[in-house]
Amino acid sequence: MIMTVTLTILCLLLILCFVTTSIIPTPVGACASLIGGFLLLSFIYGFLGAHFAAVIQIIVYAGAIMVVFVFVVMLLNVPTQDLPKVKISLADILSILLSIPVLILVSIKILNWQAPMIDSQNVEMKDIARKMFIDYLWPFELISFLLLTALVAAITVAHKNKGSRYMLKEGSDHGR
Amino acid sequence: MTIIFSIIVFAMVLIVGFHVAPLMTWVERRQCAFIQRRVGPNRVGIFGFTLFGLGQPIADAVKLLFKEDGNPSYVQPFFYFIAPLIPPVTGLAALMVIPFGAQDTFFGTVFSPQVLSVGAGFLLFFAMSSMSVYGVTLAGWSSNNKYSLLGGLRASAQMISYELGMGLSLIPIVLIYQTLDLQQIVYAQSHSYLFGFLPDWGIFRAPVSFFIFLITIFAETNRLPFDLAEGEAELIAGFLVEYGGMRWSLFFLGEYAMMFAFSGLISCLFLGGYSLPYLTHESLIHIVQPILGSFGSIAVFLIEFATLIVKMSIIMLIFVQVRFTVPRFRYDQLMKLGWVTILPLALINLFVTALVLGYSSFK
Repeated sequence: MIMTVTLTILCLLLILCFVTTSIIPTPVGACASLIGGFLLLSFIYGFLGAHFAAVIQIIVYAGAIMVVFVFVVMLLNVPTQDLPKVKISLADILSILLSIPVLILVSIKILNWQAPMIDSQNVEMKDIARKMFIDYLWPFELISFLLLTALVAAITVAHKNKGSRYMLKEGSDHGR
Repeated sequence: MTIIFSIIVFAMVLIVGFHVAPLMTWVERRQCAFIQRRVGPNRVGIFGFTLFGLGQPIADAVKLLFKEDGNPSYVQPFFYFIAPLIPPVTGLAALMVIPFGAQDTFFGTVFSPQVLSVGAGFLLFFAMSSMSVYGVTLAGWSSNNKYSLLGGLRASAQMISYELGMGLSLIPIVLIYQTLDLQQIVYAQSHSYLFGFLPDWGIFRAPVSFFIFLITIFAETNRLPFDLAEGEAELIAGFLVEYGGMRWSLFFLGEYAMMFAFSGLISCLFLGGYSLPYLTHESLIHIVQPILGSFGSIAVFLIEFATLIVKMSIIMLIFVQVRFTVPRFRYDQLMKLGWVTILPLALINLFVTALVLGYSSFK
């Protein structure tokens, strides 16, 4: 009972954090609430007994990736008045209305789901490593190649090659 | 019973952690004075007893508490007020991961004097320490001041660069002792001997890891020669510019707590933790038990607690000694050291350790 109540509170807070991330006007505020969301997610992992996943969630997402996000947001440091104003159009309202049936379907599925309890004393690092590096080695390596491809693609898109047809004209202020 | 013992150990660690910052400010000023052939703060005392000037931290704390709490009008209020809380909280939380004594029976209850012990072991420590950068970064951004902002940016870039080397330098230790649990790592270090006479400490097993880890700690805790985030010469005081009074000192509380926690981690991983060299927990119990009876385990715990504190203090003195010996790096030198020297060195170290361990296990 306590378990269910705590998990429900944590999940509601988590949803609140992620909703705040998308609607808050300031970029740093969005980053901060995203960090809060990641922390809450790791609390949920830890609460369910998956301590390793909880710790890795904090180290990788909240501790490393979000630092880079915050770094970029702070480096650009766009003044609040220069940020684009959010206008709610007909398309937004329509898409919200269309997503409600999906939400209902998903939540019926979720409400019937029982969270699996993991006995943290029995899950060792060795088991996780065996699953990752022996049983599922092939998908794991494929994912790393996918990430590498995405990285190369991002650099190619962002890199300004001399003589490229995407290069901006001399003297223009855009894209600097 | 276990909960009561946990609370007692928690309180002990918290009290020690809180008192590190005031003490260390005095130690730092005194040691700096000795290095520069001065006397240093030696006057302030209590009731006429000067005690080498140990009243100085109390006087400093009282002064900081009564200082005017200025709130600049141009800051981002929420983050400006929340940022100074992050370093002390994460620093003291990281301190909870350190085991301060061996597992034993205290008044009929088996208890391990480690406040937080989870399956992921000392990875939890890195979770805490990686969160501490947000204090500096958010303080720099929310102050709405270009020097602060530059300080915050420098801090975040520096942390990311050195966290890689730090993580990689510890993998050889995990390979050697085959566990992430600090309690088990300390046990393994105190119960066997290298070449028959050296205690099996991490520093003798993986010396390169020890030095890489020591260097990266300086960068992670923003200490000289890596305190580019403050950089008085070019950034005035970086992220601290707009802070004063108690808020300003909270950053120092956090910095010293984090230094202390890192000294605890380095003692546990490389210097045998709470164990005395050549004296295992069992032999200590054998010596003490006939004299004190059932209080023997408590006495042994206190001896081990003191041992760990002494080892941590020695590391802290090394921190101060380096601060007043090595000048500050330039920012490009710092980045070059991190990415071009430390990261490949850590990778080579990991590779060699894995090869040696694999070879010796095949034989």
